[in-house]
Amino acid sequence: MGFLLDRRAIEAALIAGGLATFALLERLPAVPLCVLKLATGVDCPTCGTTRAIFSLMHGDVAAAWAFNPVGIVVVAILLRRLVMLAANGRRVAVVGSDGFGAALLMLVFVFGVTHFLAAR
Amino acid sequence: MHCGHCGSQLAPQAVVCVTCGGMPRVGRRFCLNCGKENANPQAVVCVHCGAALGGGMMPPPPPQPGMTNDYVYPSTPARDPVLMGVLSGCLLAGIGQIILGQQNKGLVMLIVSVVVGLGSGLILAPVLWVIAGIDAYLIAQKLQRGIPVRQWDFF
Repeated sequence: MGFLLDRRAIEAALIAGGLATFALLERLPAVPLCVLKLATGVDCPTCGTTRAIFSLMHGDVAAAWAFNPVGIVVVAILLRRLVMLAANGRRVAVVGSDGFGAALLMLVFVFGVTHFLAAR
Repeated sequence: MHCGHCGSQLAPQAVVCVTCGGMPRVGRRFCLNCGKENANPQAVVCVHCGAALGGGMMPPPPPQPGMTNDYVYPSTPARDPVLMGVLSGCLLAGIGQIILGQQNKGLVMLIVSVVVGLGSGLILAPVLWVIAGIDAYLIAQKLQRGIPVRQWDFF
């Protein structure tokens, strides 16, 4: 049981720590972080997601949306996962439903493909 | 014995339910002993007969000589289907499948998506990403419900 609790705690700590890091950083590293962009020079559907999450964690929703709306949905998905981990198997109304999760995933695809087509 | 997912009567040594495809001892909605439904998902004993409900992990059957066990079994806690979908649909096609345990399939999806994606000038890349993302989501959802999948099962 302790092992199970540890795995949940580790996953929750990784998510919370990751989001907190974005919030605490004053600026993103000046080096390109995307291997695909470096190798091909092409913007993929998720290009700008890191910058969008950084902007969102600093309260700038408009900038996050402009970089890539996928970043906003990814933060929502991570927060949902934190809620699910805290619930520890108990049912969570609306947020924990399969429909809500599927809708978030669909938003990622719609925003990603739209962003990809607009950049070409 | 009854299936913990659907309540169907099964042989005591059954590993997979022939009715719903789930792992009988993982589900806790129906009592393994009397087969009656228990409405409370947090219940640990059956309100009808008092027997302990399922929910424990069934270890994979031991591999037989000359045979390979190509089933992927649910993990505890289950991987989040949405996160697996995002990983395969956004990061790299096949990553979600590899994390879920379908290593061979995930690796092939990764290579195919890179070759086909770059070969088509990235025109087909979004299609491959979306297919890989939906596949990872649906496979993770099956595992979350306690249903084992084969290495090469899709959707």
